[in-house]
Amino acid sequence: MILAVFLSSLMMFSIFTVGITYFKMQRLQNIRLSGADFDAIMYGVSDSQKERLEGHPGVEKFGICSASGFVEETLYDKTPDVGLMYADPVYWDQMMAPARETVTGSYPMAEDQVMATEEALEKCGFSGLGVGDEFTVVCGVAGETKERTFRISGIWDGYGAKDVFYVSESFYKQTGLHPSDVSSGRCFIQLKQNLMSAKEQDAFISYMELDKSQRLFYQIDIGYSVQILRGILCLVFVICLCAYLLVYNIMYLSVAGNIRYYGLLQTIGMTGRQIYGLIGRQMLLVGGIGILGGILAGGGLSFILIPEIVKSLGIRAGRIGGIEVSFHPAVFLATIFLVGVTVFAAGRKPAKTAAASSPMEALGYRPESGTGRLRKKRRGRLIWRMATDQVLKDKKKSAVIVVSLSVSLAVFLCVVTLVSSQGAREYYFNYRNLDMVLQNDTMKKEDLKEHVQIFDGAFLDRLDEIDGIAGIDPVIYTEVTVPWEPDFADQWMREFYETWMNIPYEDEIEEYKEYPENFGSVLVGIDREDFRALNSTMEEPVSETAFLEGKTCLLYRNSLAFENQDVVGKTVTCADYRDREHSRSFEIAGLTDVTDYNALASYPPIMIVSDSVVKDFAEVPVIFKIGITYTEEFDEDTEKAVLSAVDEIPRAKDYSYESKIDLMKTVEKAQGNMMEAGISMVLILAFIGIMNYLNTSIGNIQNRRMELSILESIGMTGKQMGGMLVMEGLLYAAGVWFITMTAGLWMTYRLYQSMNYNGAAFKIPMPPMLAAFAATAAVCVSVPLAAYRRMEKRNSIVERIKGIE
Amino acid sequence: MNSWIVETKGLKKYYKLGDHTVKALDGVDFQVKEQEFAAIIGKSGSGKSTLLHMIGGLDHPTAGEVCVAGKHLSGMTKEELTVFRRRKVGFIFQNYNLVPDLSVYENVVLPIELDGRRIDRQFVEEILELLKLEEKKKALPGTLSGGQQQRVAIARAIASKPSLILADEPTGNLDTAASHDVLGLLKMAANQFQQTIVLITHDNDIAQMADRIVRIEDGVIVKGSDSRA
Repeated sequence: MILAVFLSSLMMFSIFTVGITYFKMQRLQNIRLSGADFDAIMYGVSDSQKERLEGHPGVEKFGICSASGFVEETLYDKTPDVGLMYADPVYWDQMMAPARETVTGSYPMAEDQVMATEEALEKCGFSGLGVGDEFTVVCGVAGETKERTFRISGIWDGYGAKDVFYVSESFYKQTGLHPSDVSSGRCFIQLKQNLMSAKEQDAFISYMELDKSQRLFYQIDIGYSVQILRGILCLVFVICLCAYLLVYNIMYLSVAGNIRYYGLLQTIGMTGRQIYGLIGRQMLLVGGIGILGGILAGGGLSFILIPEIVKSLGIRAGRIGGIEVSFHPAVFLATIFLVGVTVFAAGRKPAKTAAASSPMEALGYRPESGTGRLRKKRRGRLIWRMATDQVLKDKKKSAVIVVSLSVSLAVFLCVVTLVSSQGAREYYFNYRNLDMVLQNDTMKKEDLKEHVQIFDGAFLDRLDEIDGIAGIDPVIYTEVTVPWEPDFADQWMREFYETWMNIPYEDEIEEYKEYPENFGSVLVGIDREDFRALNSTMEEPVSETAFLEGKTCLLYRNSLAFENQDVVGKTVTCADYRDREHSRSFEIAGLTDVTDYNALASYPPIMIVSDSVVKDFAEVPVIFKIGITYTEEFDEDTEKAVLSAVDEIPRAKDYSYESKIDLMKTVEKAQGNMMEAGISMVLILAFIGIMNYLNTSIGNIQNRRMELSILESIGMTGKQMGGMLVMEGLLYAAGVWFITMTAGLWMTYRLYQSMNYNGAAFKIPMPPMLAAFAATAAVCVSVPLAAYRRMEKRNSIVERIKGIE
Repeated sequence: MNSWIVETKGLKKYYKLGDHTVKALDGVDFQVKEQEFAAIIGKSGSGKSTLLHMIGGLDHPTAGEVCVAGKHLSGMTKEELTVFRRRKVGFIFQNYNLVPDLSVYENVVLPIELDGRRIDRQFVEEILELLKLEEKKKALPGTLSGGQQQRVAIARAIASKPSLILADEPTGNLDTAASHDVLGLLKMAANQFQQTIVLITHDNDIAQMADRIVRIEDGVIVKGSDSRA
């Protein structure tokens, strides 16, 4: 009994402690991946909106970071891809601080100073420069390209975007940019409240009175805060249910075992009320000792044992060191309260049963069975029949055994799915979950003439020769114009200007009509694999045949307020950027929000068509990115081979790449000990589940001691007995699996979706689940068998039949 | 050549109880002939049940030998003893010890099924009829009276056609009328199916129904108590 309460407290305390650590680490991970600690980000912030933020009681603080230009080229690199940003003191000093690890020097004050990172310097070809050093770059600032010399006022390292030079306020002011420009200003908002319902989130967005082009996004922590809390409460409830079942089982068995004792007490004059009180005091004592012991052991388990186990299992060892488990005093109170309530609730009914037992009934007490109505006669082998009868005869008891283990297994399933969905390997940078994407950086040049082919056919052939590559999907494009026409082009541009531009469409419509080349766009060609992947993301999938034959195209929506029905079926025409006469029209099949195929930013729509169309239309279409899939995910050798191949191309400095391996490493670093905490939670749950079954199962066998001994006395051999117990165990295991795979899976799915802010697909991690299922079967089969063998050894058959302990 | 179905030689069973050694049986030499109905009487704690358990292979002696139907029990493994019990011995306990979840019929045929033998339905029906249980075939033990439950236990003991029936205070929980009824039926059934009965009782009246009475006291057979001797 003490053990039951002890286990429940241990479970509750450990889960709370490790759970808090898990969520704390998750929060830290999000801060690190975002590069700052904030709850919402707003694109563009006007002065009046700043006043609104200052006046809002729920806003803790807000910081502004503004894009101030970019490094166009340096002496060493024509495509460095490094931005210039201005961070106001709140953002730099307060919001970015938790994501920073080191800072030398200080934030720039003078116009020619920058705060740098090693990465940004390296991209520009200035590796090795330190604080006080100067460098010269060609900058693109507000449409102007100019050579500038900067002095490094400081260097920082940590998490977040590091391909950036932070510039001074005076630099930002001279650019003429304003935080209200959606393309420049980013307002980071930290809210006072930790929980925010969807309604409150919408109300805050309404309060900010956003322009059509402005957007406000919530960070995942706050955006999903209510769902996450609901999920946590649900988990706590299920864990309490586990504890309840455990205590109830033990109490029930304990009362049943002591019923003669209670009968004896009644015989000598103890009233039912006194027995109830006796059990109550017993429970108080047992509860007190159990809870105290559980909390102490929980502390040991959470703070010492689990980190050691995780470490000794070699899980992600040698990375950041041991697990730092967080502790919150409220966990003490919550454990005492919840286990106390659970013990009280679970003990009430058995206590009432004990109080209500009559002396005579108690003296002749034998486990209650065989007095009910006749069962349906089962067919089949005797042992199998007896096992089935045993499981079904006391449906309530069997249900308690099955449900208690199912609950543990379902929670295990749930936590393991949630934790694995947060695994570093589950993050991807590309909607297709490609292993690597190579990008042609000349595309980022302002001057279209500088957009050149860096990945040619020879390079593609070279990639083809690499063993570990399973798929190569080049994305090609050509620059085009979208000539004005009243039906579609006009409709698009009008909406574009309303959403994204500060000047009215009417001011530029004539120029657009006359010189569409001043409003360039791109025709992007994708292959069948890319099309299929893209099509699977569409609200309404489109015809593959029409697309591949070049009859239809897809358009990037560009956050415009268009729905499919506004444009589908209309015709869009594109013309060669240099030759208006060379044009082609497509039927619009649908709108997509996938940004992966946006070769260039443009006013007219970006048209995505079959690559064969682009090859026909343009003389030499440029490959702007290459998607690569490895035969084996996260294959570092293949990645090395690809990088070595790409480093040999003539313009090796003009490409950049993203890879799943790099992202995994970044996420792993950002996660700290989050995954270890998650694994700890799973281990605790598995342990508790097994302990729970162990308790109920041993109690069950002890309760059947006499019956099993009778069977033995009339000739059931040890082998037959073993067979019967094994079959019973298998029936329980089958019940547990069934409940877990139905109700448990449903609960897991609901919980997963409520906490799935990554948008990761629901995927049950099979190896731990299969292991858990196998362990369930092993436990279900071996525990009753071991309990019986132990009982058999302790007492002779005669003693057991006579009921001698 | 003797025709003993049960023979014990120098049978001893000692228990440790704290610092004391309890001599439950202290050198018992006891024989039972085939188809004999022997009653062992004695006070509570005299060792009569221990003797019965030794004969039935439910317990191991500290010393001495037990031979039942020509087989020495001391050389048998636990599994062999169990199989021996279900084939050669039918037990009747004071508490009936029926399997509560099985019907009367299922209880009766259980030892046969455990042995993997075909059930002789006609024989079982005959027993049930003889023991006036034909109406209760489908009932669960918990719904029967004590006398009825004991009759089921007798039916179970007889059904597998064992050569020996060991009855441990079979009337201990029954009133006088039911006791005589049950014993009468047991005797009749054993006669009909040529079985040997060893009965334990502390009730002289019940013992009188046996062919032979043996008295046991303090773990030894009282000299001159054997009514056959």
